[in-house]
Amino acid sequence: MNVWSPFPGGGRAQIGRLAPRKPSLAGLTIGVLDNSKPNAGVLLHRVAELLAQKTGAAGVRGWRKPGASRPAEMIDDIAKSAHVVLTGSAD
Amino acid sequence: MPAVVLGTDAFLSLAKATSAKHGLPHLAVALVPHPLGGVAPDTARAKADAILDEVLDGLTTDPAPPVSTASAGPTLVESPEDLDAFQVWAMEQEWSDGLPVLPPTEVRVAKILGRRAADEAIATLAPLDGRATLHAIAVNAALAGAGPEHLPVIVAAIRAVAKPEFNLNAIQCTTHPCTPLVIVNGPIAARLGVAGGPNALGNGHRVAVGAAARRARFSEVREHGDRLRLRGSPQRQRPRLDGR
Repeated sequence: MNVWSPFPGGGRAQIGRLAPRKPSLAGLTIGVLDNSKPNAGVLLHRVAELLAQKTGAAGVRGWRKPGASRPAEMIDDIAKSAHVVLTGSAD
Repeated sequence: MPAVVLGTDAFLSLAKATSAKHGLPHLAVALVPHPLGGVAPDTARAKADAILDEVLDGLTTDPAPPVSTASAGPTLVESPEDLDAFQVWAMEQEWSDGLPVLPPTEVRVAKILGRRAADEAIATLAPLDGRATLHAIAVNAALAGAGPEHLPVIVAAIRAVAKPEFNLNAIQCTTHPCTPLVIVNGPIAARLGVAGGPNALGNGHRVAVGAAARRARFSEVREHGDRLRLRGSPQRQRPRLDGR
């Protein structure tokens, strides 16, 4: 017999374009957006510190969302203040 | 600006699904072994070394452009005729949340829809912005064993959970076993036989309404599904309203 699939498809977004990657992180500011999940900031900042050491980045700047499911209202500030950003995480 | 998402490997499917929803299936995701929460900070910090090169690569190398995934729209598929065989098949297809389901045949879905416009969009459901059309809701209602008389309540429940202030995304994506409770008020509750008054949360003979709303609510989380619920909940079966 024929039945309707409960997975009808639709709604999938068009493929967007990612921002061009940087040739190198030397001299750049690495942003960290901590979503406030347990240990997210610990891991993100550690990765950022190691990256800065390895690549000669200018420094690391951090932001923290008030809750993982809350929107990142500081996103414009991050865009103005950092060149690349690390974010996450699921715990 | 170039961004890389860090997470634990248990959440890969959610990270991929969410980035795809935003049209960026090629967004770099770097994974550390689960879990991060509940471990000592030093343990979390020690996970950084293993992903350093991957993160650097994600920030400095443009990924290959992904292939666009076209949406199919409502699809008819061939299923076993025999009801018991259908049941086994539906479980294999992951159409069932573990509860018995009834075949969403063209006739049954058309009966639930009545004269309503099948392509009417009722809501957009988190996390993947699946379009909850009346047709998609009716298919899920048919699977759950609901009838045409239940459709208005199911539609109202879907509209309610899709309101931004409800924050359905958080409920859909969390490992917590929470799940929405649908409270039906007014004469329609008695007319449909929705359990109420004493023993309201006990046995009731019209679980189809909740089952259908629950099924429809979960949008396209089939891959992510409820595998992440740490302990799960009997109220939280896996429903269907896929956006893919």
